[in-house]
Amino acid sequence: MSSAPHRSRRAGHPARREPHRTPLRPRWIGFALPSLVLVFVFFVLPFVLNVPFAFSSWSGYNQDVRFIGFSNFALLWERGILQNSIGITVAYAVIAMTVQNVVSMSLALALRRTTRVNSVFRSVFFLPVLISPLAAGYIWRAIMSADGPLNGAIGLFLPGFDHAWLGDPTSALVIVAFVDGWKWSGIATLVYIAGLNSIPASILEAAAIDGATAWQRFWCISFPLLAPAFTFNVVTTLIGALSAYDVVASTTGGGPGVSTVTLNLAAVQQFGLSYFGTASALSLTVTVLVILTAVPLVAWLRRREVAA
Amino acid sequence: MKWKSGVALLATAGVVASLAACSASDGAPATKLTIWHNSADTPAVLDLYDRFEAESGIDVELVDIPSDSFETTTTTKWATGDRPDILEYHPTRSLLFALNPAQNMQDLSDMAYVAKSGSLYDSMGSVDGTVYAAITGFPSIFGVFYNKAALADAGLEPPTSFSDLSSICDALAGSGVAPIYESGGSAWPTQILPLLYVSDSNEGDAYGAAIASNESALDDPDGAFEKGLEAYAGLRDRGCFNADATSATFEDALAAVYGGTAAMTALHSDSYAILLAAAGGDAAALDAAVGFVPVSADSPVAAYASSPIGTFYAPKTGDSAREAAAREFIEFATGTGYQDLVDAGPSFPVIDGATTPSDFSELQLSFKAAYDAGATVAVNSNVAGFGALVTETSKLLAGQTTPADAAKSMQDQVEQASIAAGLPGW
Repeated sequence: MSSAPHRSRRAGHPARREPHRTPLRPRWIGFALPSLVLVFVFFVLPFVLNVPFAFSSWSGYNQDVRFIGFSNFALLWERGILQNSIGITVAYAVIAMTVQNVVSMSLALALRRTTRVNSVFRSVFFLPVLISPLAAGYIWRAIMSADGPLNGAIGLFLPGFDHAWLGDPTSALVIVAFVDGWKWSGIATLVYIAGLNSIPASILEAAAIDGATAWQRFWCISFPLLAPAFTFNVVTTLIGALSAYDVVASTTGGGPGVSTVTLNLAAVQQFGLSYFGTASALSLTVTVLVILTAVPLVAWLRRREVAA
Repeated sequence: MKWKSGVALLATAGVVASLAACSASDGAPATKLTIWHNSADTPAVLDLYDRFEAESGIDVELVDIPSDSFETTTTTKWATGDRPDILEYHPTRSLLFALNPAQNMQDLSDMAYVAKSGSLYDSMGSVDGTVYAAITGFPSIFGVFYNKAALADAGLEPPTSFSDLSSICDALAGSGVAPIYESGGSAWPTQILPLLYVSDSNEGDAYGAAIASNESALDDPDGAFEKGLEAYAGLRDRGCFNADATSATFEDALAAVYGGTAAMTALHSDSYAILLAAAGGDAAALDAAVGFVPVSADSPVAAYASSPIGTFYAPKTGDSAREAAAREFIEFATGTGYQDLVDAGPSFPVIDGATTPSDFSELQLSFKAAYDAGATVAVNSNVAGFGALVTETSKLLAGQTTPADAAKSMQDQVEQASIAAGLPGW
């Protein structure tokens, strides 16, 4: 807002017009009110009320709930739970975000034109979004099991192949993140298709006449003009994956060992042990991680949009 | 100001009315009973609820707690302050402590079934001599299921000790049969072998009591617990486990032992129903294929722990009529309704006065034989904070921790929980 003129100058467009902003008139507040109330009651209030628990001794073992400062975080750090689950969550989120965006960008380019065949394929690729994440996780778990269909198919070429995909710490994390990417890439695909279709065909035609290759047309024209869609997709997929729980819980349950214990899974485990204070501390860590990632990322990507 | 006092009056009236509705102790008998029950309840236990409903005229509302996330779901609901009239849950103290029973549960010590249950409540369902649980089921017996043909074909006898496990493992190397099928994908089975190792050191729960009261430590390098973890890691390093040990499930383990692709798996007797299903419901075929033996560090001693299935608590709800109805349910389940429950199982009775059904299979009788031959209570049963063991043994199986580090982590967690629970010795 106040930094907007700055952005224009840095982008080298001193004369560029700032987006037209209409001041919010009092009579419009009535329309915003329901949303504000919902956000306040169902997000802000529970979040604010939950924060103190992260700094409390709350457990199922006694009624005494005292303020204990950062002891819960210190305990989780001492046990290696905090750093392990932060590392896993970040790795998981980066892989899932990359998979989603690469896959959905490719699909969007392939299915850009609205034809009957493309409409069918768009629906097909959107189907995983509609499946319950738990169901998806269980299905992939069965596919990836040592005696599952994947090893069966590989076994046709390499007889006796029985790698336990979800039993190996590295492949388990990568596979679970891939499943998350597969599950949600349908939404990102639709956003990219909408973005691609808003690019004037004349620009691309002009570039083609000037001899630009397909790759040059994508990289130098389509991709920069897709910046708003790119911002939206990168941020939402990253934030979604940082909050990962359901797909991981149903696919590996955090295993092998603790190789896929994300922050949310660790929070549930602590809750199951009746350590509600440490569980709240882990939940707060997820929120802080999302804010620390999302705010700078959005700011950086928006600046890129302006530059574009 | 007039409207303000009107609002205040209305608000006060509302609060008073809702408090009155909450306590509802106007002397009228309860007409409804809410039971949080495990979704894996046996047909016999489900039938018990129906029979109580018919007998008492009290509506039973069953709230399903998924067996897959049973402990987490129960404690999560519990933490919100929500309380059922009857809670079906583990009788082990390690999990009972986390529900703060002195504060939250009705004292059932004076009920008739307690005196008729022998010494069961010395090690289960009670804290400091106060009984909170009503146990109706025969305990889960932890031991080793083995495929009879897989061992016999290799000229091997069923194991009785951990050194037997190692020698069987060596003898079966390269045979194409997994010596021990481990199910890290289900996580909880990874605790069983380390716990079995300790069972012949835990006669009368002496070792468990020493840990619980801080007289012994789990991370003592010469203690049975750390040695059990070392033995478990030793079996892993020896290549005794199936190739997909870190991701396979316990259902896979049972199918593998029944099918003969694995020689042994360490699980508990409640797995019987799944094994029977694997055998197409043919108990004779199952008896011909699979046996069950107690195994511990040096001698054949099984471990036992009472199951959450058929173990009931009566939480304090603040509603005297419903609290009384909850006791009525427990009276029924352990009294007039008990023989039918035992017969419907069929299961071995744990309350005196009930007669033992006669139609048990050979495999079921071997569970009872293992129990009667001096099984000891699983060492994790009565120690606060032991719930974290599954994480440590899962890490150990995956090679992500060492026996010493896992033992140290467990001792830290026991200390944390015991201090939080204000237990003596800490």
